[in-house]
Amino acid sequence: MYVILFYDIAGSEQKEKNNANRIRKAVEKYLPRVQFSVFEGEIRQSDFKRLTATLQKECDKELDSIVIYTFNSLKYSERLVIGQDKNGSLFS
Amino acid sequence: MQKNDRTHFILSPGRLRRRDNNLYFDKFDEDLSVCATKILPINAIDEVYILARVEIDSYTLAFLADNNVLLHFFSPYGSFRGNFFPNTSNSVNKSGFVLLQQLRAFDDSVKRLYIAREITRAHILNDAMNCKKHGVSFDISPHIAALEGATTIAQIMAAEGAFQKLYYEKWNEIITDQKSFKFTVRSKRPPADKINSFISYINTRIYNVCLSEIYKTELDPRIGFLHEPNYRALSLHLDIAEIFKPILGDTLIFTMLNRREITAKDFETNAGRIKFSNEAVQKIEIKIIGKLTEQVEIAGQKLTWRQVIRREANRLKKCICEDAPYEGFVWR
Repeated sequence: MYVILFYDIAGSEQKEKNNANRIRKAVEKYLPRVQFSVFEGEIRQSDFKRLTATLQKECDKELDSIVIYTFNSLKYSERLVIGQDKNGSLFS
Repeated sequence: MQKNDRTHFILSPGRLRRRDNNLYFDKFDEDLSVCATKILPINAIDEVYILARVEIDSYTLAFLADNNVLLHFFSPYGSFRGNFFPNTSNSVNKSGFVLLQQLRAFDDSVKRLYIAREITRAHILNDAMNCKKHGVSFDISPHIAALEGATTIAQIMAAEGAFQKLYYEKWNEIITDQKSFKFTVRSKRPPADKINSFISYINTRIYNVCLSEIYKTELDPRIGFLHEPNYRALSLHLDIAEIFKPILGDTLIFTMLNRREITAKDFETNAGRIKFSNEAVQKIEIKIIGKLTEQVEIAGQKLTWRQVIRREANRLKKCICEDAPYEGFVWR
């Protein structure tokens, strides 16, 4: 399935633990980054479960916000990029 | 936005490194200094194809082995150099029984001949189906008869070779761009002209996909049936690829050439050797990935082409271990 994930993690001065790095590392292992806090790509159902479980654990429920869109099919969608497409393709 | 085959291609020189238990790729510019860094999500990758000069250390290799990522190395001219297959519980779940049965099937001349003949028949039928789809008449009955009458592996190989020669001649009727892609003779190591270099590249890719799928089953890729296991290390994937080369590779070559997606401009010649430009490789790979993730319905199941290849390997295993009748896969 296809996933678009974006997050907003509150700065460390507002809370006791700095979880921004842990959340970033968790997401980077599963999805390619397209913008500073936006990730998208193909992911397996089982991997998605594992990713959401880690995010549930690491997320500060009061201050952080993580939004995930999931798609089973991309038939009715179109992706338009203006300017640079960062980390979009399979090639490097 | 195509569906991902969980493969990644490295086309530019750089360094693969492990950091934060994740895979980083530093791209180099001309004087070997880092100009861009990209994160390859380790859990979204199964295979990495390396077609450029890449630095990699044992620490990274160990990490890749832990995550069951396969590496395939190619020379700058697209010829195959080797694989890195992790030695983990997942990749060497080989049973001694299957290995013994495979060796026995190889030594049993009747059984070996039977398997080799079935593979060759599927290969010939698939080739003929290609010709039929492109409206080129091709009488295969003498070749099938020669195949039936063959009593040794060498005779099967001879029948297959004679057929293959005629089949390649038919390519001139299928491919419209005769000026730059006229097929004269199949040449390898190195391929002499553009069409040969295209065939070689696509075939290498199919061999590697077959090999990765064989590693997921219990079969041992070192023991092939049609191809003699001589001093080259592996040969079973060549057998299985025989069946899938016409279905996946040849059709792709025909459509890409006839729709002018690949033209003479996509090749670079250097000191008599021919290679693809990086843009051409990207175009071809997107096509191949599209093909491999395409679902087809076989025996009531929806399978991707990768899964079809694995199914073929498992059927071969069933024939070897349980004496089940084996029939090569023919795509209609």
